[in-house]
Amino acid sequence: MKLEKRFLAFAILCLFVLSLIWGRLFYLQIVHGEEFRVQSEQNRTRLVSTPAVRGGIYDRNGVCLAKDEPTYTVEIVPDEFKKEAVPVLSSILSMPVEEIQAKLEENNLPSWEPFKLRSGLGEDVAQKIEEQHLKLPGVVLQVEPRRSYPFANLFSHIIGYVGEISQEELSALGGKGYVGGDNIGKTGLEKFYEDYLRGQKGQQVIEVNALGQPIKVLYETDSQPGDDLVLSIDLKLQEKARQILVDNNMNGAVVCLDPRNGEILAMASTPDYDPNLFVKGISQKDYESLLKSHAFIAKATQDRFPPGSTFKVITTISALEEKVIDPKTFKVFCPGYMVIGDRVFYCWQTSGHGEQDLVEAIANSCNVFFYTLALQVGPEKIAKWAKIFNLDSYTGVDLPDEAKGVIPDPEWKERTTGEQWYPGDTANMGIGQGDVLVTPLGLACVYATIANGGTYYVPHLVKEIKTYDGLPVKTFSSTIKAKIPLSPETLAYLREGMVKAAERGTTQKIKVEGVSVAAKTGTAQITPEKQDIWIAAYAPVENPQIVVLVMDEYSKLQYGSYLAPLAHELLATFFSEKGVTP
Amino acid sequence: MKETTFLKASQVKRIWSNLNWALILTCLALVLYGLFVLYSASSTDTGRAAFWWQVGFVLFGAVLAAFLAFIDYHVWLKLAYPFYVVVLILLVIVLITGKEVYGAQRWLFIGPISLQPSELAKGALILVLAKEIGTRKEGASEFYRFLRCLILVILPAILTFEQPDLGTSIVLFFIFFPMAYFGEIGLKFVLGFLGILLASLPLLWHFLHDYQKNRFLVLFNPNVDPTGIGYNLRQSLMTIGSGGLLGKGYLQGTQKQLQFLPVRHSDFIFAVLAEELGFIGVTVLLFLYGILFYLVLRVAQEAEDIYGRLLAIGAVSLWLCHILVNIGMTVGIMPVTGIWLPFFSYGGSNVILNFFAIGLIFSVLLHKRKFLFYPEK
Repeated sequence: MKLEKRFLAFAILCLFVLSLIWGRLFYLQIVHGEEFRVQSEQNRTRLVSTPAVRGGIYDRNGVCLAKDEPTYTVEIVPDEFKKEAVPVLSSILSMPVEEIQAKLEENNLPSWEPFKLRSGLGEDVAQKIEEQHLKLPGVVLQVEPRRSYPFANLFSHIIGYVGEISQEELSALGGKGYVGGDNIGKTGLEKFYEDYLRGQKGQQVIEVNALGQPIKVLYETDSQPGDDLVLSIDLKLQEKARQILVDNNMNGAVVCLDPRNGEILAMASTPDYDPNLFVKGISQKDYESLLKSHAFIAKATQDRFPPGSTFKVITTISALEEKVIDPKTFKVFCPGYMVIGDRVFYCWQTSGHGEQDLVEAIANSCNVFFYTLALQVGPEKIAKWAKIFNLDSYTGVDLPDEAKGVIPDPEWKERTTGEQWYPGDTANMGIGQGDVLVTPLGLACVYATIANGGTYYVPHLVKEIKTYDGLPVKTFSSTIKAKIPLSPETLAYLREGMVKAAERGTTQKIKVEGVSVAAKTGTAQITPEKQDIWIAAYAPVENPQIVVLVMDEYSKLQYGSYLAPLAHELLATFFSEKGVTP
Repeated sequence: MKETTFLKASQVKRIWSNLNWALILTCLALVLYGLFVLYSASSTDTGRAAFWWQVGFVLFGAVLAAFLAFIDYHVWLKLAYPFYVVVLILLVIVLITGKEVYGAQRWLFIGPISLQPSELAKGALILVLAKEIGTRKEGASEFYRFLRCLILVILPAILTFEQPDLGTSIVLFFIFFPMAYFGEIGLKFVLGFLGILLASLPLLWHFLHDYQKNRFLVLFNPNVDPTGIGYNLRQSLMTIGSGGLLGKGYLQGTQKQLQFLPVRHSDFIFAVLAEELGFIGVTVLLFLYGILFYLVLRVAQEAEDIYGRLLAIGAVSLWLCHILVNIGMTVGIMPVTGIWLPFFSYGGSNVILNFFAIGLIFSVLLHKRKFLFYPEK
């Protein structure tokens, strides 16, 4: 029967497969069983991985900001070690004799297994040990790469740091080949570009004897160094940025942007920390004190503050673009205060500014003018334009854990507080107070967009990624987030107002010889004595090449205009590097 | 002629009379043997968690199998095409979204449940091929029927190949050929297609990733990729060979404990068995598989109609292929692919697929009406 034949054929196939496997097993277990047994007992091999050198990080001019350096560990094989070597070792390692002896006693078993005496040693110590190796039997040097940040605190919030991978990271990154003890980028660029920086581990198959001692390396694949990052950061400008914050004892932020492409030229936040602490192993006490001072929060990107009068550019743009006022005729008389509802709202200059047109009001930062303007425009339209300028959202900078701003409107207030929106809220919003919050980087991007005539570039730190031997991996050209249609008229009014602002009162200290500057200051009252103060500026006005923003949180200084000398230093540094002598 | 599927007294009687205790005992023996070995394999790395999960999967699978068995398989055949389409959609989803889940593209996460649609594809293919091949179309040429089936196989095969899961693509074809053979689609087409496949191997070679190529090359030259796949193979051979005739004793495997073996509790579990229980232990396992195949082939022979016969043949083909590829890889006669060993490897999706197959076989067995010794009223 035909069907029966098929069953027979299939049954034979099954039998064949099972017999084939059975025969192979007979060959392995019975014919060669004894050989394999001997091999498995006496001749085991182990798979060991060798670490990869992590990619370096460089500034725009090629100065190294972070790299892996060889670090040495001194190990002792008790079997071969001689007591007479203790004093020699003690002087080289500057380690008390008693401590070495104590370690020797702790680690006396098993005697062929080396133990770590001290790790994290530099080239100099390693060299001394090499020189004296005849006097140091049983002392072994092991080398492994370790992260080093030569500029310490200067780049803590940009570069971040690496540390040992945590249990959570291990399970989250399951498929990527990490194992316990590996280093991984924890914050900053080290985290954001981890996949590029980490490189690829090498593997060694090592033959070990019955005691587990390595005998020889059987096979080896080399590790692949990680890729290098080239930043848009300018080291000189970055140093200046941090210096003005530290010298003036400020808890603040500085952002310097290129408005032509969104490149971040400098970005600093204080307080900061030394990322090298994490490489060497930070003490609990140091860690807690840094945590308490909020040193791990990058104010420039991870925190938000009321922008004060720097926000008036948004109020102005919403009024002009929505055609709420005619800027040629619109004037407001400032007596130094204004009554809205049943409350009195003051101008910062309580004696009043007198009659103000738009340009004068921007130049003087007249609050009464902007209260009036905001009430005429209405909160929805101001919020609309703030959102067009991305102030309620992330800038998209290439850093992890970015914060985003808050732009209130009546619907938002109802939703978050359950309270009604009052005209007073509109007035406060018009001068960047009340519930308005922005990140310093987000605000710097607004000024960069105004400076270049309406193109919002995504701010970025990395210009280029290269392999360790210099081949290009990825180049980051400027990314346009939005083209904001601003009329030339609007831009002209803003420019004129901000150029005048840069020439008035304390703000004129921003002036750089040979360069025209536009600036806007801001002061947001937090307590009667303390305020968050700002200055945002760009230059040269005709052809903007840099946007500078300085912010000081809970400042003892009274007005944003007191930051003008600091902004001046940044501009002067930038233009002197370019060859424009101040 | 096919009336209701509700259980009448007469049907219960029929089911009872059709029960094949030998088959039940064989399945039970295999499942228990598998858990026994997994208990040992899971002792070093996952702290037995894998073992207890597996017990849970087996219990769930047993309930599923009982449910499938109690309902007439013709009901399941009616659902074949919808089920097949759903699985295809899942495979596409896994290709699109899976890429974002840390490189593991075979998994689909639905809330807390994660499943491998590629396992579902094997079950769906058995069902849909039984339906397609079993349903004769008047006037359709043999070649046309073969072509229709081929399309049903190739769609999931390509989708799984893209994951990349070469093993599953191979299994899908391995299920197809015997079913086509039994479905009276001429041997000439099956052999012809196999010939074309073999002839196009050099071409397919270019579509393989480097690591996949190494898995083939290492069979001929153990020094290929000595720190990767070559290392695994060497360790596997040493582990199995060192088991000898009697093995090193249950829970006594040394290779296993020193963590020389990769993926002990899933893909390389056979090596643990071979090391600890020796040649005797593996012979018992192969013998059990042999009995299982014999009994299921008997079910196929005595099935009421061609549908039932094809389902049983499909299940045997599935297991046979998995045994050949999995054990074959651990003993160095097959390339290394992530293919499980029936009833032994750890994993929810594979346990459920195995019980799915058992459930269908029992449905075929229990609902046959060949022996009308018990007259129905």
